[in-house]
Amino acid sequence: MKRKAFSIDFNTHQTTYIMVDVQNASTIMPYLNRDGVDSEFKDIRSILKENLRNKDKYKRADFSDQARNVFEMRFTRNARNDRIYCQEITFSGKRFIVMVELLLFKKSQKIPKQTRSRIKIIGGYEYELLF
Amino acid sequence: MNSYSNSEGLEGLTNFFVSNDTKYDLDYEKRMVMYRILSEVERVADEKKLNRKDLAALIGTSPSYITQLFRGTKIINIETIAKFQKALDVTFEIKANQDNQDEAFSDLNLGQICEQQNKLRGFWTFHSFQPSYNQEEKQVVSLESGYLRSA
Repeated sequence: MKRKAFSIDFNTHQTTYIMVDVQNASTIMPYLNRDGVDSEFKDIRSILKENLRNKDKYKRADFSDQARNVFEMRFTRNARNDRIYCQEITFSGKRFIVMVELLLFKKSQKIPKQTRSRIKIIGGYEYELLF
Repeated sequence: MNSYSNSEGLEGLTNFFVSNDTKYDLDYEKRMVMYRILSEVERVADEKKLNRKDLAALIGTSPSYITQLFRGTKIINIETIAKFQKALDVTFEIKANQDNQDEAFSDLNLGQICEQQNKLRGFWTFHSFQPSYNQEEKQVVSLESGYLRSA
């Protein structure tokens, strides 16, 4: 079954859309509203909307072919080490970034086995995009 | 709660965007100027297959300082920009673009976006959660709505 994602922001030329998975929005949105996280998320949104490169803020979760379309937003300020795993879809010259799942307190440098399998699952999600 | 389609959630979202994006934030502006430069640094470094350690060695600093810059916890200075230019054998071009107030609505008014998008798809309904009218206007609104109590 297709999952749903709704748009929360887009750039002036409407070529990049930042969206949230409807099913996980109840955990992702309150997190993004937290003090400190909100300003970091504002930075990440602007980086994405301006199409800038910054591997410390947004990076491909590059470990498997099944997860080629999965990226992670990194929240690292104030001794935080959290991730939001995103699925990036590109079509018709537009880039759709769907925030899918929140992972709090990443501890080790390596991606744990459990998270790896989650990322693979995220990579396989199909979306109906709601605007 | 499995879905985010309730009004409480949308209120939080609206407040979040309005309060975050409408006020002028000098620190944010500083970081964005830096991110634009660092984006080019990262692009050129990738082309030249340089990692953070190489980059740090080239400009005579530590890899952790580079990481702090990319994370936005420290702000780059002109000297470091000059060092990046020299190390990467590039020149950063500076171009000023006029900000277009009419086009910049996506950051400023989520309500407007929701309204426009609702016309197309009808999935979300937009409600203004932070009315800005004064006391007199409140009274008029209440009377027009048929409510007797003062708003």
